Amino acid sequence: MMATAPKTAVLAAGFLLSFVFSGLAQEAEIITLTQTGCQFTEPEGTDHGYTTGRPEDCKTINRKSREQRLAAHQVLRLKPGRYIFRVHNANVPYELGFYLRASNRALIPFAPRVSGGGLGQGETKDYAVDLSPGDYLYSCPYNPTPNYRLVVSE
Amino acid sequence: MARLFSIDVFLAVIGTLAAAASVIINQQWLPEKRDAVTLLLDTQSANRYQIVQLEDTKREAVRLRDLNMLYGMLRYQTMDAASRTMILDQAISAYETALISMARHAPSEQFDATGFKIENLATAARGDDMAALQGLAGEFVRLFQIVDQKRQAFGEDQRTVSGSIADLRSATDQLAAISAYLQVFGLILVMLATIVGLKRIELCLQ
Repeated sequence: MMATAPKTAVLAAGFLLSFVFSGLAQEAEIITLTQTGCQFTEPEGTDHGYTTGRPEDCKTINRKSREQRLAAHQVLRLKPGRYIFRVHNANVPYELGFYLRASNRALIPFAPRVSGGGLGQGETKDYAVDLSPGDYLYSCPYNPTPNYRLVVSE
Repeated sequence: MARLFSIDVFLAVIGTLAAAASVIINQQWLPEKRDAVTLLLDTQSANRYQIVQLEDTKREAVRLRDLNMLYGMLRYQTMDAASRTMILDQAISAYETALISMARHAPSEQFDATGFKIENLATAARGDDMAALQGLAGEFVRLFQIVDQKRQAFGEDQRTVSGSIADLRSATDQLAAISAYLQVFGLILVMLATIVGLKRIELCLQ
């Protein structure tokens, strides 16, 4: 009887830990995004193959193509919850970042948001955020890319 | 020919021309001036709205900066680390709200880059990074200047628009007065022409 008590305690602890870890694993969903010159490839569905040596090149490219590309881009639709945006800089030869915020500019300081830079060529970084229902935009102002839409709803 | 251009005919022609000029002023020139005034009044109203928005933004920004400073002072009165973190977070949030609110008045194409910069500085400042805090303060001054310059520009524009409205209103009043004088003048001339004409007929019959 005395030997079974610690065994039961260990089992119970193991069960609790596995429950906690499985909960955590379910909690944060990973969204993978890849950046190439002047764009994220996932929402646009294709790599346009823009060659860029500096952000100003993208500004010129985006000025010409932004409207068309945004009209055709796929809106990212998610359920409320915790997400990790795993952003990869595939081939852009300068430092990139990631910026996710509310689409309504007045709501930016009050809505969930995440940002960060320091994403060198070939590097991948995670940006975690708890998303609540609403309309968001995500982009990289360093690349720069167009503002892609993200809709969070139940 | 001499009889054709007698004094009564001359008076009637001048009177009719005066009446026609009055009609042209009333139907053509005055509505044009009034339309221009209406257009400028719309601009004035839009400018006034922008000025109110910009003044509100400036006032709110200053209040939020003061709130940030107040939080900053409170922070050093607290011994508990968790409370300090919470107060710092509130202080940065107040600053962030002020900065984003001001950034909305900066050129639209710069908004994303500015928002991104503010967000990165705020994240670093929440980790007690003094350089990031100074960066936020610098950004506050830069954006406040942009908002203030925009406010000044709208003020200048408003003064110009107000001046134009006053000029146009004065011109409208003058035209309305000229039109009224021309109408009366034309009427008198036509009446005189009628009297002179009748007298001529009487003389001819005698």
